[in-house]
Amino acid sequence: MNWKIFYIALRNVFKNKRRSTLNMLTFALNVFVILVGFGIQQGQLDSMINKMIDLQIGHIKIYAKGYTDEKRTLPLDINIADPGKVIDAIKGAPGFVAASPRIIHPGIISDTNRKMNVIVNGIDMDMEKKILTAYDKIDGSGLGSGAEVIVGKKLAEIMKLSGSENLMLYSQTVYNANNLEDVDVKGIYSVGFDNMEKINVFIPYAFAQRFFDMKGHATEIIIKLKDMGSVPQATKYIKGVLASRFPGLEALDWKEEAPELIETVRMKHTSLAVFTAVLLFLAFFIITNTITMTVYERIPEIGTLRAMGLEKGQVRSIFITEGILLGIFGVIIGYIVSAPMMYYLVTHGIYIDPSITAALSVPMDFHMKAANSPVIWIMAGVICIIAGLFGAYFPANMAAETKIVDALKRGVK
Amino acid sequence: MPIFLKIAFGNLLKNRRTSLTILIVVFVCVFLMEFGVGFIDGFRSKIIKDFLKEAGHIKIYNSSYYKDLDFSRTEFNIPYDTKMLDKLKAVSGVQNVIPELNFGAIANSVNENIECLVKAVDLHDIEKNYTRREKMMIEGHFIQGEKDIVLGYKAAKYLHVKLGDSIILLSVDQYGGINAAEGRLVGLSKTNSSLEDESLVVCALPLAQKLLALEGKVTEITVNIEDPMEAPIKAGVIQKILPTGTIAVPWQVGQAFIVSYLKILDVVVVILSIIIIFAASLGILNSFLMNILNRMQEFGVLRAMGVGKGQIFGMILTESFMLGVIGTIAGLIPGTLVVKYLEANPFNYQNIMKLMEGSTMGAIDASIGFLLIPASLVVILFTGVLISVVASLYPAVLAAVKKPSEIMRVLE
Repeated sequence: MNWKIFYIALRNVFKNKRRSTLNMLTFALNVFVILVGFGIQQGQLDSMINKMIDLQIGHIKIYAKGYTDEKRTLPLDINIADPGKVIDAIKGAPGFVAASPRIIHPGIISDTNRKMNVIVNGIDMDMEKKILTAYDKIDGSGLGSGAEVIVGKKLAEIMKLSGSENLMLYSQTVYNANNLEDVDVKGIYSVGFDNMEKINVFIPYAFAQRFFDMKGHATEIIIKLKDMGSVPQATKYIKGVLASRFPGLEALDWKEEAPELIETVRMKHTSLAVFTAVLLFLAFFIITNTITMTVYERIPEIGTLRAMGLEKGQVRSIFITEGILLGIFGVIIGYIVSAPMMYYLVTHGIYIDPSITAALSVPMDFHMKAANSPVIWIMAGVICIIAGLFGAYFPANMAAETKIVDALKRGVK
Repeated sequence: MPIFLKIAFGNLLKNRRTSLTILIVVFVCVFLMEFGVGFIDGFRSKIIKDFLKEAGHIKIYNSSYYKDLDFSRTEFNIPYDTKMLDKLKAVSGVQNVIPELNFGAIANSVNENIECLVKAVDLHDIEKNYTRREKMMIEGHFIQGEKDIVLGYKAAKYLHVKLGDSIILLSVDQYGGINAAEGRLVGLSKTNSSLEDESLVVCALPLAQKLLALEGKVTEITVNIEDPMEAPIKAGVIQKILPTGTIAVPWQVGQAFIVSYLKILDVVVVILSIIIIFAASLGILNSFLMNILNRMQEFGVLRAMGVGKGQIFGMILTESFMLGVIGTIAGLIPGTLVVKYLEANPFNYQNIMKLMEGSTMGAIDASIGFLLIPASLVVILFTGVLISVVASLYPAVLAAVKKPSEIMRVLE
């Protein structure tokens, strides 16, 4: 780096403070939009994904082949014959924490006055507590092994349950025979997600076996891993085990379980990226225009510098360095302005009316907090500095190609 | 004034680079705003026109049914006859009166059965009241006779049935007994709503009334009015003519989350517009500043010749106004074409709408287009010109307040 060139560029940036400030503010605005926009979006999506995994779907699920095609009806006849054997076989998966068999089927729960269509989840409570956080807050004793049920807080409110009633559970067995049994309410669970609390009821796995006449079979196996980073390797491992030992089964990771979430992520990122690209184009355009005007104003100066021995490349470097410096200072201002806003969004978030989140079938926090990662900060800075560099490139070339004689003829004002 | 227009126009042509810069900035700003506002207006229209019309501007229920709305307790119902229909139609502003029975049942074919949502519709005025559903038929036709049944196409796939097959609906009647009714499949619908495609059964009101032992009764009456925003007022009028024990619920109460959605849409538009306007203003301000500072000599001479501060100020504002108008019109033309194209060719958000499945918004058509509203166009036009004028205020003041002697002294 030629420090003389750098010094000239730096001095030029501060020579016209007003102009430079406006250019820097343009970059600062871009940094702000990228940080806050991506931060909120990513924070919201991270929250939805984490909640879905922690409350409902786990990291990986195993089904019998063909089940997912009929998943809408939650069939019992497409099932996993020996879930215990499968779980033993996959315990070696990278990041494996726990796995549990489940029986899931639609049903109706009734207190003779009111009846509600629900999804009946037959679960091994002790194992599931290692997998999902849905059972962290249960008001009641929780599930044993008999004809018991725990219901969601929202369902309890609607049906006016206190947590110790006797209800009727109606559904159909794997042979399509109608079944109706009395079940004792052993608790009310609360997850802060109305949709789940209203629709999902949980019964003991042993009772579900008997109730649905499953004879040891399960409709799915839910798997928890150490963290999200383990998912790709673990999925590969599990798919390999299933292909060799259980060819009638398939494994789906959380992305395959919730494709609509992935679609939402893609759409939101695309729309914000398009918006940011347009703002960057504006910034690039403004910088190009500003530096071009600067070049025209300083043609005599450029001529003098060339006459004193500066090469074309060095003249080009001066203006490119100016563009980069404007970008750097703009990014710094953007960071300073964005920091308090990001702090607030990360710690407090934006409050969302619960009636809106109730309309979604995925869990969402009422306080939409932003994600804050060094990657977003670095990305915002780099993008804006590159915009400054490219914005200055064409006028810098123009300045470099200026003929010395023509420039000096214009005289110094 | 005309001389200043001439001078202003001449200056625009003389300073082509600056003029072009500002024109491009205004163009991009206006185009973006029109695009964004077109999308939000399209989404808002989708909610207010399609969704609310389907969900109902005003819903009439039995009060006990409304208290336990989640349970669809058909034993709490509303007597319905032509007298009631005439009374409701007589209320000013009422466009449609649509009685329905909505309940859960099990739909059975020879080999399969599924849980389904049954919508029992009145055969009178069916073409007027169910125009949207008629357009969604992909095979066969909509309900015409008392035994007709329409299924969502995915539901038909699950049941392995085709047109002409028998469908048996199984449900619990109002006396608690299990009852069955048979109908014939006459049509398959595709609605872009996964929930409806997979579980909706449409049948005629008499079939459902027989199934539930509810002859002459319905569970709800939808009343659609000319202006959905007047729903609370009209609901109050309708309440006065209803029998005791029934309640008229406007959508602002029954679908309260829509009010929040619409507010959020407004906030989003405002925030996006502020960002775009701020970015554009910086660019315009910068360009105008450079332009003005380079023309100080010219202003100095004009002031020395007797041109007043206000006239200098006005001249610069006239330039920015003209640039604003030209740039805005230039941005509106392609913006309008793009929005019009997207209005006719909406995006399909079916995968994303699955996030709404299970909620009332799950019934919304997943194709969302843009919409060009004249009022929004006027606002954008006004804003585009205003950005240019406001951004040039500071440079104009700068040029106007400088004393001619100061300007001339610097130039020596």
